[in-house]
Amino acid sequence: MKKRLNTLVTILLWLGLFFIGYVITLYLYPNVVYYKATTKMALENNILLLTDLPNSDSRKVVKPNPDFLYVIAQYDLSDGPIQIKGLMPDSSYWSLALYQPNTINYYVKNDQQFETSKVNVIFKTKEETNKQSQDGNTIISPSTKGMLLFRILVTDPSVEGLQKLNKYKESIELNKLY
Amino acid sequence: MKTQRFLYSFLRLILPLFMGSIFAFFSINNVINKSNHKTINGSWHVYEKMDLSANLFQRAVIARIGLFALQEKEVLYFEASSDSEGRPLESQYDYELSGIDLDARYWSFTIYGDDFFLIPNLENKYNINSSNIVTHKRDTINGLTHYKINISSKEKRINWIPSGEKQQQLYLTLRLYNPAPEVYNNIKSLALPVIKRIKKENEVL
Repeated sequence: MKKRLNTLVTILLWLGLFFIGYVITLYLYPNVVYYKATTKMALENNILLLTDLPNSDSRKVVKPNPDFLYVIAQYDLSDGPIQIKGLMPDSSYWSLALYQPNTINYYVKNDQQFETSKVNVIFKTKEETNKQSQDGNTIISPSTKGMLLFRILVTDPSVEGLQKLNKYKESIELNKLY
Repeated sequence: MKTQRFLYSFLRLILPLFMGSIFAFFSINNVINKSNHKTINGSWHVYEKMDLSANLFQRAVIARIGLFALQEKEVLYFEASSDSEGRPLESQYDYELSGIDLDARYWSFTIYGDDFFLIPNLENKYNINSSNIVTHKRDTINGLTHYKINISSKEKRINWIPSGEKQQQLYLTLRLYNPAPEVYNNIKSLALPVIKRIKKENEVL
């Protein structure tokens, strides 16, 4: 009887540990993929990376959309808020998306949702928000670190078309607020 | 003896944890070709909700096959890995996609190789989108615009997406940016293109 009970307890323990291993892996997997991608892109905190149109040599993030110019940065709010400024196209699609290190897209806003093509937004942590007043241009980041991603749609991939859009891409600035 | 017993107990605890972890990796990779947890529309499947905070498994799968995907309110990502008869998409075959115009601000069909990256080709062409597609005909009765898209390793005259020289499984992604509200309400019945495998010469299907 005691032996049977021991076997049952062992099986339940094994199943429990198996499940814990399964859940921990699922939980951590996106963070590992995120870390590997940011390492491959050699992203430095609060430094913008401007990319050209993706092609078959673009092998840092899976399934790139070959119609978009991307501006990427890994932001770090541990030293305080940051400000993003830039002039974006006024007649074609673009968007700003923000991700947590666990890959959750917690914010996305496109050209039609911004009131102007002049982007001017401030990223803060929740703690910073409690210290300062906030306005409509403030985005609260749920984590100290994360990823910001501008997507600019290229409808005319000619040299002239790309030159025009590259100016918008290059206009984006990321600065510490104070 | 004590050390041996300690090691034995330690392994007994670590082994199931490790096996659970291996099973998680296996599940993530195995679900890629399957439509589990997704809405199905013909050959196409889509995550209607991208609520990655609530679903650990979905979050892991998206990280594997679509890192930095956007919320469904911004983009709907339809994926196809098989043709209209359920056969895997393979680069040694030609395919024809025939459909009608899609109700979104911008849409595109892009093909990826078995590593989920763009397929090398001399033309540097990777997709067809709502700006560069050549439409086939406009239906005078209901005003719908029809198109055909060719996926092939050999050059085609119009709407060609090269599938490259390497023999591999293909993955097709249809992105709908800012789709019309009706699209969200009719995802299962949305008129998405049929993916037809073109019969090769001397091929018995």
